[in-house]
Amino acid sequence: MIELIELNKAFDDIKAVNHVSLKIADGEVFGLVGTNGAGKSTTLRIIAGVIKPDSGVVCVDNRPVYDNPDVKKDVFYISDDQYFFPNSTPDDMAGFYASVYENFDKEKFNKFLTGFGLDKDRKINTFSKGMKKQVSILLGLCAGTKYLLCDETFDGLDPVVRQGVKSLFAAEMEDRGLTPVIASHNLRELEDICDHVGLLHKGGVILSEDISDMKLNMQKIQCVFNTDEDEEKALEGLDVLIHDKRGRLHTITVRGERTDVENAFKRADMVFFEMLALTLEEIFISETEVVGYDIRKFIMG
Amino acid sequence: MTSANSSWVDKVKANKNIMSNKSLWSYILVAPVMFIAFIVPMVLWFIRSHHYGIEHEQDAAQLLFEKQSVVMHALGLGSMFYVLIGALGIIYAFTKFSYLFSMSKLDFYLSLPTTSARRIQSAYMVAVNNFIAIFLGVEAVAVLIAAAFGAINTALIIAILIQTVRMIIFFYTCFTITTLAILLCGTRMIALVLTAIMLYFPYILGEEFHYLNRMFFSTASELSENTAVLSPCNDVHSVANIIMNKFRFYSVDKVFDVSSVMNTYLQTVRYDIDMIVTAVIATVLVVFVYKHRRAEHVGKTVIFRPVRWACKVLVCVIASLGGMVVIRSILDSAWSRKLYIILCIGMLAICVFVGSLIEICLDSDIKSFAKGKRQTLMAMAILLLIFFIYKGDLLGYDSYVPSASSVESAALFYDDFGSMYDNKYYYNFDSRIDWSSYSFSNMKITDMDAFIPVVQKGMECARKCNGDFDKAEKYGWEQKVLYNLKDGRRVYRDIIIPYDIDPALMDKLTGSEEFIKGHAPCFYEGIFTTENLTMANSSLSCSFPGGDESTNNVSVIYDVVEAYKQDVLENYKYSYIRDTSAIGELFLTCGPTLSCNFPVYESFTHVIDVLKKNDLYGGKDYPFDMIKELSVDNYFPGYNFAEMSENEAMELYFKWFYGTREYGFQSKTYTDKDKIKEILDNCTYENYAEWEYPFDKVDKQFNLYFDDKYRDIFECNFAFKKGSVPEFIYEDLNK
Repeated sequence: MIELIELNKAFDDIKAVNHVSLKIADGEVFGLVGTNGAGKSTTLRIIAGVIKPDSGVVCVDNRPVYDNPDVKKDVFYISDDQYFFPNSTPDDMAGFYASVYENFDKEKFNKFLTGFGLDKDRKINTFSKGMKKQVSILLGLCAGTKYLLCDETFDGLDPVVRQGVKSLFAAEMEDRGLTPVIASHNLRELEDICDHVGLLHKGGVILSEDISDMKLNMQKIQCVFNTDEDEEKALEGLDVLIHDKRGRLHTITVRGERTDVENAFKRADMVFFEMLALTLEEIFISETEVVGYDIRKFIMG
Repeated sequence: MTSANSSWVDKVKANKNIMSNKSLWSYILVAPVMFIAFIVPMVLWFIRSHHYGIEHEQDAAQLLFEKQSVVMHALGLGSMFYVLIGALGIIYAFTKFSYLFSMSKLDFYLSLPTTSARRIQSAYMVAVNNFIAIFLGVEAVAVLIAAAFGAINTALIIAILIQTVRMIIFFYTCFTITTLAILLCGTRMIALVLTAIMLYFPYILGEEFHYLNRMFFSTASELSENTAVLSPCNDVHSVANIIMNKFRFYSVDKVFDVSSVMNTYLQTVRYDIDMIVTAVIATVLVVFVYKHRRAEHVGKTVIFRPVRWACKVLVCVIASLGGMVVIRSILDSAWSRKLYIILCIGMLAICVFVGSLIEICLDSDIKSFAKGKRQTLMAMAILLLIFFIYKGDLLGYDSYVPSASSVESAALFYDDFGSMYDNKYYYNFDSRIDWSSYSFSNMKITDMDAFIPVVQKGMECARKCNGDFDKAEKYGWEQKVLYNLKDGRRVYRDIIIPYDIDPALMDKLTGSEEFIKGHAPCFYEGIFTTENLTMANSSLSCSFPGGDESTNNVSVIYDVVEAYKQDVLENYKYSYIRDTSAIGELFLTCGPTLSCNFPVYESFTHVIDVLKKNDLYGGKDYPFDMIKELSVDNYFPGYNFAEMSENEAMELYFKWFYGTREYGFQSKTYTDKDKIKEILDNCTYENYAEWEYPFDKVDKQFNLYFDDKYRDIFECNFAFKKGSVPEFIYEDLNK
């Protein structure tokens, strides 16, 4: 498990990470979401041991990570602008990583490269941005580390590749308990991958929760009431997060279990009633708006 | 082996991969460059020496020496290829630590499973190992080639081994200093500038203070050495220079033995100690800074604020002092003490300009020119402090006389004082002695009671002269002083011995044996032996008014020198030399490269007896019958120096001498025998005086010279003795 306790990091006068506390459980895909400058990359760099925090604790499996090679053997960090040696090929980089990470699986790497249609002997500097990202993800997956930290890694991947990477993540998680931590400024990138999402804003954590829990505890309803009294009856006692009304059509987001919400609405007489599926984005909007953030401004990449 | 119980070396080796990847290029690029630099010139030098030897019919010993010199110049202690080694140190450091300038590289390297300490250790290990492997490989090939040319002996092998260790240390020093600069900066360009500053600033500051001394102080000497410490480039350059001067091509030494090589090297070992100390300090700083440098510092120009401050202040001070030196040079021809105000203003203006320029460069933003005022003000304050310390001589430079107890020995030398002995038509390539500075090398005066009062008078006069040594003749004889202090330092001062100095004071110093033996080169140990005189095919010319004679007889030459030594010891002292004109001179040549003049005075009876005994003495009387005509020039018609005070005559004379004023010109050639005799009876040979006669001894209004056809006899300048100008001269030339 990766644990961040009261983490602080400032660059001159700018607080990049401000009292961040997070727990990243093993075997789940953790998404770190936030706007540009929210502190995602800094947090990942701290977890990777690249940056030393000003204060606070970062533990990977209860061991401090900074300047600790034993811990770093379990962590592979893919930065948003991954470095490759000048004029190197994927094969060269695999050779290098194989000399650094004892569990690096070169055979698997070659197999993945073939699967993604990448030439292992072609110079990486001739690859497109997306192809470079693929190479870095494959190198990370094959390093055999327990944790894989990806900073904006999914940006620029086409849907097919994205799906392929997702499958590989799933397979690695199942095979050897890989724990990917994925940072992105775009919530939609993470929706179908992450199990748990942490939302960063201005260096602090606004929210950190399992997506499934969030979805279970929040419902979105579209309905048309017969009268205003029906509306009052239906919403009485409910924790309404968002209530949007267009003409007679109401769109209401409420917190609560699905059956409890359904029972509440059955108290009223309605012309039309439907329970809608909530997107991760909507959940975030709802959750953050109630704590005073207008997340639409900064998360709708 | 687990990481817990593995040794440090194992751990570093285990991490070596992290920093060594992609280092093959260095072998492919550096090895050929070093091959071209070390081997190709050596082979070309061998070819040149071989052909030169054949063309000039050099004997086998000389030819061997030339080839051995090639090895010394290419691979040995005199090698100038340290420039390449230093450049490689800088390039390697930038290669190994360039990741510190890029966040993506930092992400890459710092996330790898190693510690920061192992990362830097392995970077060092890879760089140094790589360099040593290439360097030793190239050296081995070069030594084999040199051996094939038959140019290797034990002394040279020792020299090459010492040089190899020195160059590895120099590489390490440059590598470490550059690494330190990189660690202190976040961008390549600023790191490069800082590297240059760190490699050279002690030397540049030393040079600037050296110039400032000469600008502000009346007694500062150009001979003063730049004793800059922590300056590795200066260290290797100085050693190479000293060794190259010692073992020059075409030297007559022909000696490359272990003792001469080791003795010469040991004279320079302080430079290597300085380099090692620099390397140690730089290493400690690298460790310290590396511990405190963070990944987030990338992109900052200078990472630590105090370093930025220090660098800016230092560069401002160096640039402003340099600028002041340039301004002084521009104003040199019209210099006056009043111009110091311009110097001060110029210095401060340069400081402001450089301060703004630094801010613009550090921020890469022209709008930043007004930033960092506090640092600029600090630099200006330091500059003003330096300026006023110099201007007011607050440290007492111009009155500095070391305590007698701190002086091991002292010397007094230069052209004016003893110009006949310290003259400069001497040797060219003999590296055993530097004849032009015989006194400088050989005078070891320990009697400070006799020395210091003379020097104090000289300093007083120099201060009166106000540093204007171009016009020193107005005040006295320009001299140089060297104190060899017990702590190893050598302190130089320029002084002017006033014409009116107390003769008793001077006699006490100049009449002493240690002064005479350090002043007259006839006492040079090992030079005037019969063996050496024979080997060098020596000859002696004796020039006297009565005629010239010469001999190649070595035993006669030896006897003459021995007699001359006796005469000098018995007669030489200030009051005698000042008041007496030499009656002739001996001109001794010792081989093609060594010659010197010995003036002979009337009281030098021992040498005159030896000369007479060997028919080498022409006599002190002038052969009047041979002189058909004699010309007298007057550059001051209408004036009469005899009726003027010394100061008035001096002022008039020097205005003419320095070309600031012309007074007219009259000349007359005399053919009348009586008049010629009267003229010669009343004049003296100015150049036969050990010291140029001052105004109280000669009348400088008139200049006498003979027709060209008599120049072989009368080649020296003549002047009338003070108050002895014949009346007919005034009548003929002062209308």
